[in-house]
Amino acid sequence: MSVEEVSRRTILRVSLGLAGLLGLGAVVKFLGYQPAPANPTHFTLKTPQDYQVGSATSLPEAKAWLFRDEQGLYAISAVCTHLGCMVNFVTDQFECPCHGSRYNAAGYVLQGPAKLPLNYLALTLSPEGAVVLDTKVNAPADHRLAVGG
Amino acid sequence: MARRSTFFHHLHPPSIPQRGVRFRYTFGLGGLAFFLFGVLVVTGLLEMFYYVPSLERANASVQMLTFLVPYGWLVRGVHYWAAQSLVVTAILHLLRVVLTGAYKSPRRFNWLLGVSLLVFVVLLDFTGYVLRWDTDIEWALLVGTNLLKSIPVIGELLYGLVVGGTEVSGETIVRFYTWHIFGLALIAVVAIGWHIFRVRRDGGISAPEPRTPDRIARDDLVKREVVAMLLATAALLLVAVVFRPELGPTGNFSQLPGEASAPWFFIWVQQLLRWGDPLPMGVLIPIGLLTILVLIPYAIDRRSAGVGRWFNREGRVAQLVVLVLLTAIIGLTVLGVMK
Repeated sequence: MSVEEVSRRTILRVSLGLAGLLGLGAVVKFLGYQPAPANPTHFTLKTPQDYQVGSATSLPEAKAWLFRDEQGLYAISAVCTHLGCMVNFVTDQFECPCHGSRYNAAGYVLQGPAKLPLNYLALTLSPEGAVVLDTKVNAPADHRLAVGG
Repeated sequence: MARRSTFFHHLHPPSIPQRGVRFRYTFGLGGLAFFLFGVLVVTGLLEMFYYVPSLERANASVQMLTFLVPYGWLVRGVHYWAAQSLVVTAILHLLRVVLTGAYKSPRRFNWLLGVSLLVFVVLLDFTGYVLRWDTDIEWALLVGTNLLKSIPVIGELLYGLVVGGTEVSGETIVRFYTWHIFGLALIAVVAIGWHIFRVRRDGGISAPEPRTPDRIARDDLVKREVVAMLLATAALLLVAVVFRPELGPTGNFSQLPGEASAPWFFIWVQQLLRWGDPLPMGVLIPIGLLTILVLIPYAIDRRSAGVGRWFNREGRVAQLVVLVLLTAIIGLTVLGVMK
């Protein structure tokens, strides 16, 4: 390729375009900085014995509900799988106020637009014997935290 | 003394065709939108003296502005009502432009500017709504920003740029504040200047050919504009005095209200979202509507015949398309309100 084939103007234009793209990329990087999550993801609750069999406890800070059945304790996320609104637990059903999705007490979809069931969240015991909820860790639906004597 | 040529004189030549400024042709909608935007700039600047974009003080500073600052309630009321009126005025202006064929060549590019401005106006209304940071905005903010996440490939990136983190937090207020003023309003100012500059550049307000010789003088035009501005000011003040915009207690994103309603201009999207997945209902359909609008002078009605006539025959398809879209949006809004 001879020198004449690429004009000075073309080189200038291409350089300007590339510089613009680089600058845009830098701006996107600049604006995309993600600070550490402002909200906690670990919640230390009461001791397992404090929750009665058949009880349903709202944990608004953790955006979750804590239940206890015969097998033990389990936590269901209150974050609707459709668009992230907080579902309410009303008469054995979860209801989303935003777009009307409904889930049964086990978190399975009864009515759309949601398609996926609500998430189960991991429960562990702290050394002091309190229930610890980790909202970043999902658990299988049969996950139970056994309640000792 | 020779007068300098100014932007004002560009928009107000010594005389302009009478046909274009007839009230029953334009209904003064473009001018009204321009005036409302000016009111929003002035009242918005005044609000900036008190508003603090932080988690602790955002809602408190709006409370202070509303209940303690002398005439603060009036400034906020006028800002609020000018914003809501601007959405309605912009839509009516768009409707007028479609029904009179004013989008046709050579005004196609200005049509694009106008459609972009409509997007800006709606986004400005949404970001402004969020800034009051009371319990009512929580759902709308969660849903509106989570919608971004549903976009493939660039969704997470967009979410981070808009929200300022991996979830809604105090950073989000700073983001919305900055987007509202610099990312949207400032760019809209430039786009509005360009939009009205193009009106004269494209041969003045659209009118049918052949043009009639009747013209009105600059003074007459300015007189009409002043009267219209005074009337609009009086109406804004009256509405702001009688109807105070809502303001709830500060939002905290843990105790969310049991009822969730989108701001009025997004109720149609909320209704669509009740029927399906976020990506098609909340992202693709709105983008599809905008695409149809953009395509009107480029694909749906490419001819320039019929310009300047209400319900011109040549633009029937374009008129039908826009009327159907508008009816659908109003219908969805009514459905959403009744829920």
